[in-house]
This record gives sequence, C-alpha cells and structure tokens, in this order.
Amino acid sequence: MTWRMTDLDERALIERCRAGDDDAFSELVDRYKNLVYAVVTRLVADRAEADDLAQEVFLKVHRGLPYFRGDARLSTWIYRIVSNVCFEARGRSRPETPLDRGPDRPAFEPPSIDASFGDLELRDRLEKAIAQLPDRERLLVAAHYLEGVQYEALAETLGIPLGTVKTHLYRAKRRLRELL
Amino acid sequence: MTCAEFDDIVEAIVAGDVVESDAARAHRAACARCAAAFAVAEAVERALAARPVAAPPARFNAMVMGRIRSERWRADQQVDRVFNIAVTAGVIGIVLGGLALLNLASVTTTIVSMASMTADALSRPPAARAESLPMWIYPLAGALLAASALIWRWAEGARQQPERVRP
Repeated sequence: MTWRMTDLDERALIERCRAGDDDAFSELVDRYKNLVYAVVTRLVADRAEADDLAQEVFLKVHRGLPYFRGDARLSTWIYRIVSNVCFEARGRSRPETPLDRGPDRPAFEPPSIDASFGDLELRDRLEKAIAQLPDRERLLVAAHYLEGVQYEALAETLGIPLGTVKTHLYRAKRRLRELL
Repeated sequence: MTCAEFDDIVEAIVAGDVVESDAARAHRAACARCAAAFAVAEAVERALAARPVAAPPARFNAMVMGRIRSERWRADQQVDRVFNIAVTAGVIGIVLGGLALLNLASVTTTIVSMASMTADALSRPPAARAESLPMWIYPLAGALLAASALIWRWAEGARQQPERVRP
C-alpha cells in the first residue's frame, strides 16, 4: 500500500479542492486517510481519540489548503499537521504510563523456545517503551515503518537533514532497546 | 572494536543501513553482552516492522465531510448574522437619512398622528376598524413587503457569491 501521488495529480486535486469542490476533497481524504490514520493510531493509543484526531487532521488540511503554497509535497505537509495535532493532544492529555522496570521485572530477552509468547510480550513492552520516547522520535518510529514512507519524506517533514533523521531513528531504537 | 563502538552501530546494522564489518562480527562473537544487544536490537527491528497498521473506519470519509459541512454551516451562520446586522443598520441609516432630509418636525408629527390613528383604530371593534382604515394603507404595506423581499433576495445573492472560494 503506497500513498504517493504524481505532482500533476496532486496539483490538480489541490486546485479542485481550493475551488470548493467537496468531491475533490473527499478524494483527497480517500488518498491520505490510510497514511494519516496509521500514523495517528501509532501516536495515540486510545482508538476513539485517534478517530477524532485523524478527522481533526483533515479539518486542518481543509482550512489550510487555500494557504498551501506547494513548496513541499502534500504528503509532507499533511505529516506536519498530523504531528502538530497529535503532539498538541498529547500535551493536553495525562502522561503515559511508564514502563515498569522495577527490580522484579527482568530485562527483555529475545524469544527462543515459545516464540509467539515472546513476540506478544515484546510487542506489549515495545508499545510502552515507545510511549516514553520524545515526540520527534515517536513520530519517526511511527511513520518510518509504514510502507512507502521514505527517510527523505521524514526529513522534509521535520525540516532536518537526511543524516539527522537516521541518527534520530537509531537513537530512538537504542533507547527502546535499553528500555526493554 | 570496543563495546561502546559496537553499541553505536548496532541499530544501523540491523536496519540494513550499514554492512557489519569483520571487526564488529568478531567482537559480537567474543562478547556476550554485545551479542545480547544485537539480538535485542534485531527483535526491536522486527517488532517495529511488524507493528499493526490500523485501517480507518468505513465511514471515515463521511465523518470528515460531515464535520467540514457543519463547520462551513457555522461559518455561514456567522456571516449571515453579521450581514443581517449590517443590512439592518444600513436600512435604518437610509430611513433616518431620508427623514432628516425631509422636514423632520413634520415627519415626526405624521408618525405620531399615524401611531395615534392606528391605536384608535385598534381600540374600535373589528367591523368598525375595517371601515376606518384609509385606502392608502394597502399599497403602502404592499410596497414595504416588496421592498423587504427585494432586500432579502439581494442579501442572499451577495452571501452565496463568495461561498465557492471560502476555505
């Protein structure tokens, strides 16, 4: 599943949306909803809140389209809106439950015999660890592992060089490794 | 290679961005701590890649478009309110301006006498009231209604015109 559009398609769609064509905007929602929803649900654990925030992203896209200059790709601009909406919401909500790494809980060991149980445990601990990452690293981890999302798009979204994106991702994963 | 150096590159290696050098491989083979770190890093990489991708609900488009329409409706209501206030203020201004241009004193006297005539007519029984109404009151009422309808049509037209380009 990929979310890329050609520049020509994108410009034409934006122009139709700007002209007040609701069908065009619905088409835009159709093209980007999987991307937006996937990232939002990875950033916000509560499904009802994620539903609401994903819709809020498209409301902001609708309001902002007349001011979208087209310097960046539409997907990049939408990413920025996703990160702003999610991090604003995170700022309003209560802090995440910290990962329990008390003396009673051993550090994670990769599964050897019972692989499926180990995978489940790893997934559970991983989600809790991700919740403790700084916002930028959480966004990178959430978005990087979606099909069709490249390092370049993330660099453009965050306004940082490609090398820095990789460094942040490695740092985030190292932090996850240490938290598990 | 030291453990700290290995720690710095292990994520890049398991992500496939860096090819594991012979020195790194030799270190991993000899160091239990770094071998464990490598195994955990691999597990993290696999788990991140396997994180479920949630699909939006079936009615997602309809919900978004519904919220956009209700937002647009609220904005229209706001514009309507402001516009109606402006039109009312304009009409009152024109009427008052017209009154001022005419002889204000005589107009005021006419309004007062019309008000007293109306009050007098209303105080009589209905049958007598119909007889006492002057004939000019009907065309005047009709003209007022027509003028109101025209102002309303014009206001609606002016309101709908910019709607296509409004964000």
